Amino acid sequence: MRTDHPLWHAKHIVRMGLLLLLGVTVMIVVRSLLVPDTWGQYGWYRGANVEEQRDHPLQHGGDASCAGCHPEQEATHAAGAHAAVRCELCHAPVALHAKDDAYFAAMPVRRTAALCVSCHQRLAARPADFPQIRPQEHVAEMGGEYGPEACFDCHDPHAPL
Amino acid sequence: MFPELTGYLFPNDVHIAWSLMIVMYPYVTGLVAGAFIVSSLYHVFGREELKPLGRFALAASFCFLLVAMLPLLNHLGHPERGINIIVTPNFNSAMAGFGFLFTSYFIIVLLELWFVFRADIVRYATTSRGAARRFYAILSLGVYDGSAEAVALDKRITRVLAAIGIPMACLLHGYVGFLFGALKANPWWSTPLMPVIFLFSAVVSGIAMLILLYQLAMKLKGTTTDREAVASLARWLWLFMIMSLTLEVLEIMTLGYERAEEWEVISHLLTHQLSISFISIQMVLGGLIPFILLMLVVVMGRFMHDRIHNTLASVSSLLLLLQVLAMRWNVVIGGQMFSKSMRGFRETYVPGLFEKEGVLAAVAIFTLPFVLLLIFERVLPTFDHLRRGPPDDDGLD
Repeated sequence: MRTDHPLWHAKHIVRMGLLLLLGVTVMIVVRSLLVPDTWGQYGWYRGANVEEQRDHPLQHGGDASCAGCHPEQEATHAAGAHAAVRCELCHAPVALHAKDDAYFAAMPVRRTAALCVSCHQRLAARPADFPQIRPQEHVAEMGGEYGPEACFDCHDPHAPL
Repeated sequence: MFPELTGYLFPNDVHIAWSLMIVMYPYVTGLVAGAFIVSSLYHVFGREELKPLGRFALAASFCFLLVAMLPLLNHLGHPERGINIIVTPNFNSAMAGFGFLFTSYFIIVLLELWFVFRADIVRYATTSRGAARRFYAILSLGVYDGSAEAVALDKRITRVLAAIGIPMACLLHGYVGFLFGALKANPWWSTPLMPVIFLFSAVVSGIAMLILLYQLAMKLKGTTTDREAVASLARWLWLFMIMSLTLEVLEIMTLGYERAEEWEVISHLLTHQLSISFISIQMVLGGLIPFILLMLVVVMGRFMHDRIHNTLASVSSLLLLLQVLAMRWNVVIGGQMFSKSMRGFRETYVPGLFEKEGVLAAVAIFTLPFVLLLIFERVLPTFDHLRRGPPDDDGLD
């Protein structure tokens, strides 16, 4: 038998070819496992996701769910400039704090200046009559020292100004 | 702490969403493409003077390729989902389309590496002992054919793979530029020149990195640097840096001469927010200075002592690596420093040291390819074949 023909020495190439083929097959299998069954049912997304989103338990209860246990804060809040800002916007969703009207975990605290400036940082794109500041400048003008909780030295977040 | 903002910004223009990681990503991908092109100069175009680097450049390209996706995985979170882009690529999204390119390029580099190193793998598989022997045996796929015919076949396949690899490498990096160039809402990004500029600067960074890595490797090995190889790389570097820099300047010139509405913000961007990173670093320190230094190396190199020649080439390379990094920074960060309103700016962006996408994370990611290269060099030495001489070394390998 002739052994000098180049193809006789192509055994390693055949093996590499088979390995590549195996790789592609694995990829196709992994792909078929990764692509969800309901993909493309309605459009370029997973059809079952629509039902999943619908079935998510509610996290937010609205201001009414807070007022039951915190009437004092609710009264201050309702009378203040933040009356239109929902409780759970600054606090966390009520589902993390109470269940079936009963307390089960402390409300996560987000007392940071970062939270305030996400609405109140000076931006020309915001309505002119909306209260806006340049945080560092504002605190300096007021004679304070800028820090993560600087806002709360003067402002009550429930009823600012 | 909070960004200083001037003019008319929309609230969603305040945040720099594409962080330092998105600067690192095209930088590392560029090094992949650049190093591969150097390796192809030898493997495809037969530039014999680059023979000492043929294998090393390929290995470097591979090591950078292994790390290329990490900045994205860090940026996006959920690294476990990263595999999705590889197994479910599609053309409905410009980013998901990248899955095709990345996967096919990865396979080509892997195959080329295997065919280039196969004869070595076979030799190690037959001469080493114990676990190393088993490891090399697996790498060799159990075929110990080191005959001249088999090696000749390997070389032919290597050349074909390297030839396919060139357009793939160009596409890989051109595509990264395309991702920016195709964002029509952003005038600093949206130009058909973007893929081309990215590509040329990628080649610049790749060659510059190899000039440095090659000399470092020779130092570590205690052997002398091949002056001709460095001289050749310096010539290519000069050519590509001229083209890259010219395109970068031409883009600004076009924008400046057209005086379209976006020039209002772009000219301000270039002279204020990006004045250091664009004018000082990208144009002068990383552009003009290495241009002059490399001109000296290329035009007057033959009158220079090896040491001066190689040092000048290294300094230029270092500056050009900085230039390309600055270019990536200016594109990625610069494009997010002004508002879509074209009437407002964010004044600064300083990435934190310890942030998830901060400086330390970027340094860690960028160190990784060098560690991988060291390991690679341990497993499959990239310079040894040069010492062995003619029998194993008869042509393009």
